[in-house]
Amino acid sequence: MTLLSLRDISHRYPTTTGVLPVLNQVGLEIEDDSVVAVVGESGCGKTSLGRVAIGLVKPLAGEVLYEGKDVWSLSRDEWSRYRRSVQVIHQDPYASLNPGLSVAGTLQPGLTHHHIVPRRDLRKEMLRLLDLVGLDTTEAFLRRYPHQLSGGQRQRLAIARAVSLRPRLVVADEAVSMLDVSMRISILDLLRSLRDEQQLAYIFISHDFGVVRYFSRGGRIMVMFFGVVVEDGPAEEVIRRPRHPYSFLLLDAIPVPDPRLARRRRTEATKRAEDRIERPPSPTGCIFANRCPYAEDACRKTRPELVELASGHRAACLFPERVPELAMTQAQGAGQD
Amino acid sequence: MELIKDLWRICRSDRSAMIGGAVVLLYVIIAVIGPYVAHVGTQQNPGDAYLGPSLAHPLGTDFIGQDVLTELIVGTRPVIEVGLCSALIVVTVGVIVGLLTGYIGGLIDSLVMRVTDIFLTIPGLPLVIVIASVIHSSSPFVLAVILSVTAWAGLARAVRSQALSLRSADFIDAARVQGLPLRTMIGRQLLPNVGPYVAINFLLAITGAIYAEVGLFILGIAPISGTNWGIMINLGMNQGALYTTKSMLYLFSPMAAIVVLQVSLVFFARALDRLFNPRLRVQ
Amino acid sequence: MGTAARSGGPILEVDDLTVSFGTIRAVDSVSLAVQAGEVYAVVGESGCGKSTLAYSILDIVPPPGAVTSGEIRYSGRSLQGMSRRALNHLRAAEVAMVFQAAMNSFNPVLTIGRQVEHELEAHPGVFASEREGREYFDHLIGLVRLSPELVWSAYESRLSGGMKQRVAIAMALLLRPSVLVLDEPTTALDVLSQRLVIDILRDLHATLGVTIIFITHDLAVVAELADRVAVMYAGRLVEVGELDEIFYGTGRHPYVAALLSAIPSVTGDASAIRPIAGQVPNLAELPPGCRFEPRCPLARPVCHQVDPPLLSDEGGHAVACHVVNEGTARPGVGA
Repeated sequence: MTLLSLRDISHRYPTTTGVLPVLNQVGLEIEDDSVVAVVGESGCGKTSLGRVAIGLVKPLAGEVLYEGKDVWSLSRDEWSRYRRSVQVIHQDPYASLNPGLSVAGTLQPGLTHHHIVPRRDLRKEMLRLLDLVGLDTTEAFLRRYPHQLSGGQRQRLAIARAVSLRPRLVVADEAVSMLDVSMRISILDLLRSLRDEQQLAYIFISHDFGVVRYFSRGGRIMVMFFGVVVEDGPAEEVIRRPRHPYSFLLLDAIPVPDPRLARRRRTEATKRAEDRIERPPSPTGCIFANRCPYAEDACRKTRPELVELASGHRAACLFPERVPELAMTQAQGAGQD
Repeated sequence: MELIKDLWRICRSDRSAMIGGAVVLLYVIIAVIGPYVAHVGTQQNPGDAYLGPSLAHPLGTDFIGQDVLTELIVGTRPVIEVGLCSALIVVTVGVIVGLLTGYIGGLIDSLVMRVTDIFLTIPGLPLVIVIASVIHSSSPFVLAVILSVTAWAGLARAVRSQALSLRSADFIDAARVQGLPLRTMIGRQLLPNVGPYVAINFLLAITGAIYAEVGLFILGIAPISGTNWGIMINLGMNQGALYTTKSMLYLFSPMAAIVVLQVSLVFFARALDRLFNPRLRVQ
Repeated sequence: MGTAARSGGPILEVDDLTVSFGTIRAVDSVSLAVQAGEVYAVVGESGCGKSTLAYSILDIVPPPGAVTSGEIRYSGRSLQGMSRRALNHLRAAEVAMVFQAAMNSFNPVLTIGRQVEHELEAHPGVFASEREGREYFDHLIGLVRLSPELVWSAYESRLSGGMKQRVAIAMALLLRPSVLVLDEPTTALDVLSQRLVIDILRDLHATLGVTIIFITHDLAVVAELADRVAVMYAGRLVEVGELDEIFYGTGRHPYVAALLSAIPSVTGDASAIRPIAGQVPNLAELPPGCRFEPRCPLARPVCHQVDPPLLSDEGGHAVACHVVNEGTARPGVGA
C-alpha cells in the first residue's frame, strides 16, 4: 500500500534569486515498511524534498498524498493523524534537541498531546522508549539535559522522540553524518531494528553512498541533481551499475577504504569530469548537460524523462548506453590483487 | 523543590548574588510584615523636627518629628507592591507579544510590531506623567498599569528577535512535526530558551518601575496618601527640607533605601541568569 | 624549497609529546617521525587528539592547552627552543597549515589577490619581487585546477566551498614550505570536490615533492593518499605503519581492525560490517590500563591493569597492544 506519494513536486524558495527551482517535478512513492534513499550532493534539493514529505513546506506545485489523500486539504483529525504518522530525525544532534528541556521534557509533549498512553503510564512509557534506543533507563537520566549527553546519545534521544508517536514513516535527514565513524553503524542498526519491530518506512536522505548502501539493502535509491531526479532503482543495482552519467560520476569518484582498489582505479582511464564540476546546471533540456562528458546538442534541447531501463530501474538520460561500467566493479570482478 | 536547591547552590558560589538575594529578601519581608510592626503615629511635634540619629530614632526624625526609620519600613510595601506588579505586567505582555509575533510571523507580526514600535518611540516618563495626572487613583494596581504602558515594548522586541532565531532551529521543526499546538510551542518549546533573558528583564523591570513610581510621587503627580519613600521626599521638599542642612538624613534615607534595593536586585539578577539556563544550572 | 636540509633524517620528529588542557592530556606521550617527502596520515575519531597534535607541530595550540612535556623537532631543530621570529618564519615558509573548513578562513571584504599580497608582504625574503610571487601563485592556482584570473580578483563569496578549499591549499604552498599540514582537508566537501582535492594533493606531492601530513577521521581518504599512517585513540598513538600494513596486515591493533570493519562502503562485503560496542572514554576518567580495553574483543586481565607501550618491529610497524605484541619480536619503543 502506498503510504506517501509525492507527485510532480516543484518548489522555489521566495528568497532565492536563482533561475532554477529547488525542486523540479520530483516524484517519490513509498510503501509501508520500505526504504527509499535520496542521494545527492549539497544543493540537490534532498533536504527540501524531506521537508515537503513531512508537511513542513507546502510545495508551489504538485501533490502530497498520504494514504491517497491530499495532505494539504485534510480535516483537522486527518491532519493530526498524518502528523503522528510521519516523523523526522535531523542531522545535527546538537541542534535537534531543545536545550531548555530535559530528556523527559523532550519526550513528554508529543506523548501527552497525542494521548499515546494514559497519564499515569507516562513515565513508564518514557523509560520504555529509552530502553528501545539503548539509553539508560533510569530516573536520573530522564532529568539530564542535552548538553550533558554525547552526540550519539543525543541522536538516540532524537530517534526515541521520533518513534514515540508510533509513526509509519520516518524521514531521516543525514541522520549519521555528524556522528563519529564508529558510532554510525550502531545508529543505523538501531534504525533498522526499529523498522523490523514497527514496520516503519524510511525516507533516508544522505550524501554518503556507503552509508546508503548499508542501510537500504533491499530498498530503493533516488539520485538527485539540482532539484531533478536523475535516476532511481533498486539500491544494489544503482550502486553496482548506475545508468545515469551523474550517478556514475559520483560512484566513480567516491574514495573507498581499500588501498589496492584505489590504486587500481587510478590506473584505469576514466572520463573524469572534474574540470566541469563548477559549471552551472543547464536551464534548458537536461539539467546535467553542461557537466556531462557524454552530452550532445540534443541534450540541451529536450528534458529527458525518467525511462525504465531495467526492472524498476529508471534514469533520466537520452543516451544511457554511453554510461560505462564502474572501474571498481570491473576491478572487483577481475579478482583479488 | 529542585529550583530552590539549585538557587541555593548558585548563590553559594557567587558572593555578590548571595548578598543581593539576601537584601532583596529582607526588603520583601519588611514589605510584608512592615505595617504590622511599625506604625507611623499621628502626633506631630514640629519641635522634634530633623533630630539627629539616636537610639529612639536610628535615622532621625522628619519635618514633623516622626521617626524616619518607621516611615521607611511602612513605606516599603507600597513601593514594592507597585514595582512587582508593574514588572509582572511588563514581562507577561512583553514575552507573550514577543514570542507570538516572532514565532507566527507574517501579517500578525507586521501589524503588532508597528504598534509596538509606536509604543517604543513614545517617551516613557512624560507619557506616564501625563496619564498619571489625568487618572487620579491611589490603587497600586492602576499605578502599576500606568507605569507599564510603554515599558513592555522594548522587551517584546528583544524577545521577538530571540523567537525569530529559534524558529528555524531543528528542534522547533521536530516539535512542529509532532503536531504540537501553538500554546505548547510557545510555552514549552520557546519559553525555556528565553528564560534567562526574561528573568533578568523581570528584575530590571522592577528597578525601572520603582524609579518611575518614586519619581511620580516626588513630582506630586501621584496622589499623596499614606506613606512611601517618594511621598517622604515630596513632602520633605514641600516643607522646605531643601533649605536646611539638618534635613539631609531625612532626605537621604529613602534615597538610600531605593538605591540599596536596586543594586541588590541587579546583583541577584546574576544568579537568576544562571538558574534559568540549563547549561549553567546543571553540572 | 624551505631551508630544510635533505639530510636523510626525518623532517619532523615528535618526541614523547604531551599536550595538556589542565589535567586532561589531549595528546599523551606521542612519538613519531615523518620522513621528508612522504605522505603521512594521522587518523582517529573526534577527541582522539589528532588536531591538537597538528596544532602543536606549529606551536599554535590554543590556551589553556600547552605542551607539558616532550619535544618537537623540525629537521633537527627543536620547536620548543625557537625564538618568536624563527617560529613565525617556520609557520608559513617551512611548515604551512591548511585548517579544517579552510573555506571559512578567508576575509570576506578583501579579494583573494589582496590577501595573497598581504602574505607576500609579511614574508619579503621568499621572492625576489612581488611579481615573481604573483606568478608562482598563479602557477599554484593552475595546479589546483582553477583559473588564476578568476581567483585573483574574486571575493570569497563568489567561490564555492570546494574552490575555496583548493585556493587555501594554493595559498599554503605559496611560500614554498617543505611540509604541508592539512586538518580534515576533505571533510566539509561534497563527493566530487573531495575527489578533486584528493587528486590534486597527489599531483602536488608528485610535482612539488612537498612532505604532506594530513589529519582525518576518513579512512577512505587515507587509503587514497597516504604512504604511512598513525592511528590515535583517546590521546594515545595505538598503531603506526605502512598503508597496506594498516589496511590488510595481520598484526593490527584491535581498534584499527574494528574501525575498518565499522565503515560502510560502496565496495566490500556489507554483511561483514560490525559496530564497535561502547564509547570513546572520557579523557577525564581514563581506565587504568589500555584505553581501548572496555571495548576490545581480545581484552585480557593484563590489559585492564597495564597501559600497553608502543612497540615497533624493524620494519617500522608499531602497535600498542599486549595481545598483538606478545610473541612478536618488537624490541623498542618508537615509530
